Formats: sequence, structure tokens, C-alpha cells
Amino acid sequence: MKTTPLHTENSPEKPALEVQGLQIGYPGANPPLSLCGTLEFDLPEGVLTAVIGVNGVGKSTLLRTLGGLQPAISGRIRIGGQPASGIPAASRARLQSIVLTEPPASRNLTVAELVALGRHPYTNWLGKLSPEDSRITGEAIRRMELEALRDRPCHTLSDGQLQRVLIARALAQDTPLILLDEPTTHLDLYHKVRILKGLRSIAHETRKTILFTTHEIDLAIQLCDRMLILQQAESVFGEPCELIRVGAFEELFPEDTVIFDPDSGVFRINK
Amino acid sequence: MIPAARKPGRFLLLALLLAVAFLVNLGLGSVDIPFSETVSWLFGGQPTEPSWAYIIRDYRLPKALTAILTGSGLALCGLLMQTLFRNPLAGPFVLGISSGASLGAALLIMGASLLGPAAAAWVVSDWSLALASSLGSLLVLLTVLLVATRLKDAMALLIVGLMFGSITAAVVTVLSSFARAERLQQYIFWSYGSVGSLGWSQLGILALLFGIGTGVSLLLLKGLNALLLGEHYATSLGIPIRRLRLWILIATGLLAGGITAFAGPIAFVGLAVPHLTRQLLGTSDHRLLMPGVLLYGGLLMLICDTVAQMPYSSYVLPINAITSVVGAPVVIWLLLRRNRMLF
Repeated sequence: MKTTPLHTENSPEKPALEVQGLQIGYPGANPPLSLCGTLEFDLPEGVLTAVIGVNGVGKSTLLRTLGGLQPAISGRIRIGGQPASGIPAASRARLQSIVLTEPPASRNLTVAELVALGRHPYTNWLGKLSPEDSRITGEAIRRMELEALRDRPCHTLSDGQLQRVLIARALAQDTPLILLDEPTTHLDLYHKVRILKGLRSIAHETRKTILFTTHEIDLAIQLCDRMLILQQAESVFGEPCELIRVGAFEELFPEDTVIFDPDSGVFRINK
Repeated sequence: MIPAARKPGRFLLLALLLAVAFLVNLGLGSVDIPFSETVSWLFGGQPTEPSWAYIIRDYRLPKALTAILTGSGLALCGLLMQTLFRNPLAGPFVLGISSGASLGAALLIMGASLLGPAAAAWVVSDWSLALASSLGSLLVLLTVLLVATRLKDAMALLIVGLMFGSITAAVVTVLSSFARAERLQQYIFWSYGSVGSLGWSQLGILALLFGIGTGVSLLLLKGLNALLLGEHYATSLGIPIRRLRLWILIATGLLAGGITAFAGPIAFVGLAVPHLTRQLLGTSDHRLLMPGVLLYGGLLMLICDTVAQMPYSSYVLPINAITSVVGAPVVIWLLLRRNRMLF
């Protein structure tokens, strides 16, 4: 029940995220209910990583555990070389930001207001934006192509637009690590690709490390630098082409329904 | 849509209306005092009739100030609770916080009469009434919070509030069958709600509680704004969510408890004003909403009180009736206007 590390990166700098012997699930249950074996992987700076796996295997749980919103059963998480458990909440907010599946509680905020909330870890007790905060907020809005929507209240936005706003908020938090839970659900193909390509260019251009969960395996294979395949028995981590080479995708779904074509990198329905 | 930061005019309008409502409230009453006399008294002049100065100073002025503090405080409570519970229908009255305060007050006022008249007079003071109401509202708040963490359903919370209203009514009924007649009467008049029964010393206590509650809320502004994203997002922004929740509860308990102790349970102001303010200012940013609801709440309560005192007659209507007549349609209108109330 170990992740097979297929890829060994010999980068000189510290990985942005290190995960050692991590077990996720429900520590409150007796005995603790572990979801997907023991996880072991490192994410270097500036890479885009997709977490895939069947429903219920623990993708969201992994994301919330990495984000510090939920305790791990066992194991260690290091962010920027520091053990995550020892980082005070206020400092952690400057190291990692998160985009969740849940919509923002208030839909009455304007796009600009919501994105600016990402600057909270840097602002004073009133949350007053400095010129620098405004600059970073504006940059996040530009990068997600939201300039035209700046002053629109969020309840008037489409799902795809709202998703971009939430990502812009995470960008405004300006953290080396960004975690996103299913950023492409409920979106059509065009918007899915648009979001994922956006994430890829952010990772590569700004050297941020981005980890997201998704069901879009085909798109992830084409766009991501690394993939983590969560499975109950054994989870695998590596570069997409290596994962194809070792046949990691073939075991993902029962063979009588879906089969993976390693040449094209797509799943096909087994008719 | 223009961001609220570019609408300083709306704030000015609210402040201006508040000032006008304040003057009108001071100028009207059962005794016909010329308006010019009222204004001149405010600026240090001496009215032609000495009794007028007495009426304004010791009756109308404390009443108007109480109305402002009550309206502002309840509106602030409503804002805090709507954000804390992320529920547009939350408010001190609807969620049973006022019922909790009533319960505390009923137990004190009527429970004390079981101890005998001498003890009762000693136990029931302004301070103990404020304390009992605050404790009562805090107790309900904690229970509602406990339910809220288990039930995400907005309706369930409201039902819990209703149940607290029923429990209060039941306890009051039981107590009233034992209580002495004058104590029962004292409680019933209290429950009608009134901003006119406070002297300057009681107003001082109310102002103190209001000051603490508002001051605490001001320090929570940033956390409240983060809560607009939801608790998980707030946590990921480094906001200590448990501490934030506790302080919101303390502020709400002090405000709702203190106000209910002195002015009685006042309906709908807390629920309606935050929505009216959001409509007016077009924002959910607490840095703008908080001063907004304080102004709007004070304004609305002054208007309700002006209506309640039925100018030029000696009748005074229970203020609770007026706020319900004004507030309930506002809430229904808000519900109908969009398929969901936004907060």
C-alpha cells in the first residue's frame, strides 16, 4: 500500500510540497478509516499536478488535508521545507491558498471585492488594501481575464466565470502553493480547457506549484506536468507519459466498461 | 453596478435623515411644544415654558437616544448573525435570541416575586435585569450555534428559534400563575417593548453595553468579511475561526441582551435593516455595511417610535407592534423580490 515514486527529481531547491507516509481519511472513526493507502510524493516548484481517481477514493479529502482544513490520520506534510503542522495559521495563509468546490457563502460581493479578500493575510486589522495589494489584486483579475466583470456582483456570474473569480482570489493570496478541488466541474469543454490552460501558464510563468483534483483525465494527461492517481490499493505518482508507459491508467476503471488507449492517451468506452 | 465605495452620498443621506428624524422625534409628543423651541433648547436656549425644558431633557431626549441605540444595536446584531450563520433570515428576534432575553427577564422579574416583595425589590435592578437578559440571549445563541454546526439547513435554524419562543411562552405562563399581579404586569408591559421608560442612568448602562458590543464588532470587521466566503475559506485565509465565532457571540449577546432588557423584545429591526442597508449601499463589505446598519437601524427605530407615540395624543402604542407592522412586510417583500435573499 505504497505510492510508487516513478519520478525522481534532482532539483537543487527544496520541493514546494513534500508528502511523506501520509494517510488520509477519517481519524475520528474507530479504527481510523483510511481512504487510499499511504501517499508519498514531492512537488517541485512551478509544476502543475492533477489528482485523479474514482469517486470516493479521497481526492477532496486529500486536498482538504493538504490545505490544513482536516487532520491527517498519520504522516507528514512539509510546505516549502517546513512541517505544515508547525506553521501558524496566519503564516500558512501566505504559503498556500485553496479553491474549494463549495461556492462562496455570500453571492453579493463584487468580483473585485471577492478577489481582494485574497489579500487578507497581508492587510491590517481593517483589511485596508495598500497600493501593492491593489496591484496584486488587479494582476490576478487580469490574469483570469475578469477585467470586464470587475464590478459585477457574483450572483450574476456563470459557473465558469465564478470559478475564474475563485481562482483569481487564490492568485491574489500570492502563495507559492495553490490547491484546487475540482476546478472544472459543471463547465463545458471550452471552459474546462480554458481554466486548465490558465492554471498551466500560471504554474510555468510564475513558478507557483499547483495541485488540483479532477475527473478530466484526458485533459490532465495533455496539460499536466505530474499526476497522482489515487487508488484504494496503490496510488501512483509521476509524469503523465511515464504513467502511460507503466500502464497506470489501465487499472483505473473496470476493464469491461472503460479501456485506456495508451497510443492516443484517451479512454474509450468498451462497447 | 457602482461599487459602494463610490457612493458616499448614500451615507450622507442616511446621516442627514437620521438627524432630521431625531429632531422630529424630539419635537413631537403628547405635549405640543413648538418646533423652534425644541431646536433652540438643543442649542442651549431656554424655552418660554420651563416645563418644556424638563419634558425635552428628561423624557424626550433619553427616549430618542434609546431609540437610536436600540435600532442601531439590533440592526448590528442582525448583521452579525446573518454573517455568522450565513443565513439571510437570521436575526435576534427570529432566532429566538430575544426570546432568550425575555426568558432571563421573566425569570428575574417574576421569579423574584417568589422571594417576597422586599427581596424582589432588591434583586430586580437595572443591572441584574441587563445581566439576566444577556445571559438568557447568550444561552440561546450557544444552543442555536450548536444546532447550526449540526444542521446546515436554514429552515432548521428558524424552527429552533420558534421553539425557543414557545419555551419562553411556556415558562412565562407557568411563572405568571405564581407571580404577584404587579410583577406580572411589570413583565407584560416590558414585553410590549418601549424605548420611553429609560432614565439617564439606565441609558448609561445601555450605552455602555452598546459601546462594548459595537467596539468588539469593529475589531471583527476583517474576520466578518472573510466569513462571507464561508468558514473553510476564512480558515485558509488564516482567520482563527473559533475565536471569531466566540467574539461574535459575545458581541451579539451583549447587544441583544442589553437592548432587550431595557426596551423589551423588539421584532424585525434586526432582520430587516441589514437587508435594507445592503440594498441601499449595494455591497456586503462589512466595513461599509457596519456604519450603514448603525445609521439605518437608528433611523428606522426613531421613525417607529415617532409613530408609536402618536403625536398630539396621550396614547402610546407598543413599539413592538409598530416594528412588526413595518418589518414583517419588508421581509416578505425582500423574499419575493428575488428568489433568494442575498447577504
